Amino acid sequence: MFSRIAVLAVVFAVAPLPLVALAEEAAEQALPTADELMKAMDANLQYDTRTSTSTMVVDDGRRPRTYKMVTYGRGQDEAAIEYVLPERDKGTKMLKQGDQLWLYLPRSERVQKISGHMMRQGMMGSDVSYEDLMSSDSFDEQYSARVTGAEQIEGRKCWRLEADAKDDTVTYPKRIMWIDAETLMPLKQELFALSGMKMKTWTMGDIREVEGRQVAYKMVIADELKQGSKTVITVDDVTFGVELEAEVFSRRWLERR
Amino acid sequence: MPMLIRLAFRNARRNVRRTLLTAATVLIGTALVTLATAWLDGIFGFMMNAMADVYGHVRLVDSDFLAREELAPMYENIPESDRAVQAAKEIPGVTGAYPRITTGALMAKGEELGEDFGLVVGASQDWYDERLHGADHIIEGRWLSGEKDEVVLGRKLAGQLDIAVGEELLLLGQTQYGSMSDLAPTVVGIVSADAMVDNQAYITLDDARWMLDMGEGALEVLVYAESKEAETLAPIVAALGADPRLDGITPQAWSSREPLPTMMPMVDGMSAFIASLVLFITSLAIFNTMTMSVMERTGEIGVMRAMGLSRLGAVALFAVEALLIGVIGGIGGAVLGGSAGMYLEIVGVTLDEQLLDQMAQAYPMKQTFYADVNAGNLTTAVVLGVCIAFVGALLPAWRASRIQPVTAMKARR
Repeated sequence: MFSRIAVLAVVFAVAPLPLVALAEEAAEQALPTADELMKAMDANLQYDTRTSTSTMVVDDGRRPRTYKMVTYGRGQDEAAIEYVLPERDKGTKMLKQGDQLWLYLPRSERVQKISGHMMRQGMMGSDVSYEDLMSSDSFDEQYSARVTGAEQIEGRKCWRLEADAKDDTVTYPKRIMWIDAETLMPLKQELFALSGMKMKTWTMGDIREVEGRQVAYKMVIADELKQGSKTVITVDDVTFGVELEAEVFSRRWLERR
Repeated sequence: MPMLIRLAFRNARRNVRRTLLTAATVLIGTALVTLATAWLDGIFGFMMNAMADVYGHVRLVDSDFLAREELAPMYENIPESDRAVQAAKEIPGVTGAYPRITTGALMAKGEELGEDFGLVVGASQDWYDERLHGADHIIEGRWLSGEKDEVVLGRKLAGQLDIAVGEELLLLGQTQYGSMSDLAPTVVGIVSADAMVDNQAYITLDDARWMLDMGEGALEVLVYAESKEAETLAPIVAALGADPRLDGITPQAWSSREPLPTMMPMVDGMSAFIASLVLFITSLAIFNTMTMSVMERTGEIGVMRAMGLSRLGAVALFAVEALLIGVIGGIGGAVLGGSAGMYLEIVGVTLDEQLLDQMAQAYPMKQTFYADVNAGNLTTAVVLGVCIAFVGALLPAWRASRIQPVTAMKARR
């Protein structure tokens, strides 16, 4: 009898151990909520003003072209881009004001509003469309999402997030994002059309902290509909909280030489 | 044979009214065929000649561009077009080679772009002078001087844009890489020549290269020879294809460029259909006449068969009579149809402008079409008349040959 009790005692003492181990492991693997991740990404994109210089290399598999541009931003609704190289495109400017986009063409000295089917064209023939530039609403406002697990991207632990657009005005009705668990930056995004066809793959790398924000110094955008085509944007420098002329975000700035 | 011919003449004179009526049927049929073929030859002959002049006797294009030409892939261009021009000019028989670019662009007179889209042609001044003869067709202003930021508009296009000489035009297109590209040339002239020219805009080659960011390139090089005949062009095409400097570039004779390979069988088919229809209808007339003739002369045929006329001879009797009618009708039809065709060759038929717009913006077609009477369609008329006669007479003649002499003579009694 004593031996039976002893056996039972050992069994009941040891049996919960695997369960405890499992519970501990589960606690470690606890997924963040989609809301938390999207709010964190949105918070990272908030700034009063920003200026940066970048290099964009468009490689369509035939002849790579390199552009240099200066970018100004104020909040989420105002942005201005001026191309300074190559010589042919020097002086070309773009201005985003809310939901409107304007393009200044220096040869004809004309300001052209970009709308309708033009929005789908690539900026300077790149894989970044004018439509991509226009997107300014927060992730949280545009998408409802769920975290589906954890994966490794470029050796970094990432949360996998599947997001569906809340309405049909959003450019990409579906996204799958891999959010870096540490920096909370989307290291990789796959953007889908309503049909489920993958339209673009957007990757970010060389993440650095600048004035308390995470900034991706390298972005690679591949248009899945154009075989072998990709655009690489490298940030040369970026500054937040700069004093910008009010005129920068006006049509007068576009036409100024 | 001479006896058969004499008998044929005699039999034809037996019922003059019927003979003339039958001959008239053949005449009308062959006249219609002559006129129709002259008309088709005129329209398509002009179009083919004009297309060869405008599109080049031989065209050099990037092979990948040719494979997907309907998508107009601007990036599949000839990057060093001057080298291609030089290579072409070295070939014996080549009288000229010119680089050219054609692209589409949105066009606007004022600040706002609308829905006006047009084709923009950029070519060398030499091509404009020697091949398009642009300056000869100016109706307002002048032709391009070769300076940048000038444009000459086709008459229809200028009207559509409501723009006049001296005003600025905005052209918004794309570079070969797909980025937006603009020009703001001044309209220096308005031109009118045919449906294609009237709907296009013409700029300098340098402006077109800038607009498409094409460097020293061109979309095509147009090569011209001493004649556009296939025998002249074949060795030129072969030489261009074998030139190592033109690797990746395809030479294409004008006759193998769409829409001609598709259109020519259609035209031949239309001619054949018209001829067949006329052949069928007028053969019925001959058939009717010959059948009645056989029935009326059953006894006579019987006597002749009894006297030694062979079956073949009986067939020949009626066949020769029919052929006689056919020759008369055919020659008459050729004269009548040829005369009408020659009238249309001089005066022409003018189409409604709207109809032409719908049909012909891509082709160098004029509003007035002229026929082309030539030995070919006149010969066709006479041969057709003979064929009509032969086909129509075949069955009755065969029946005549089957008549038994005894049966025929009994019927005569």
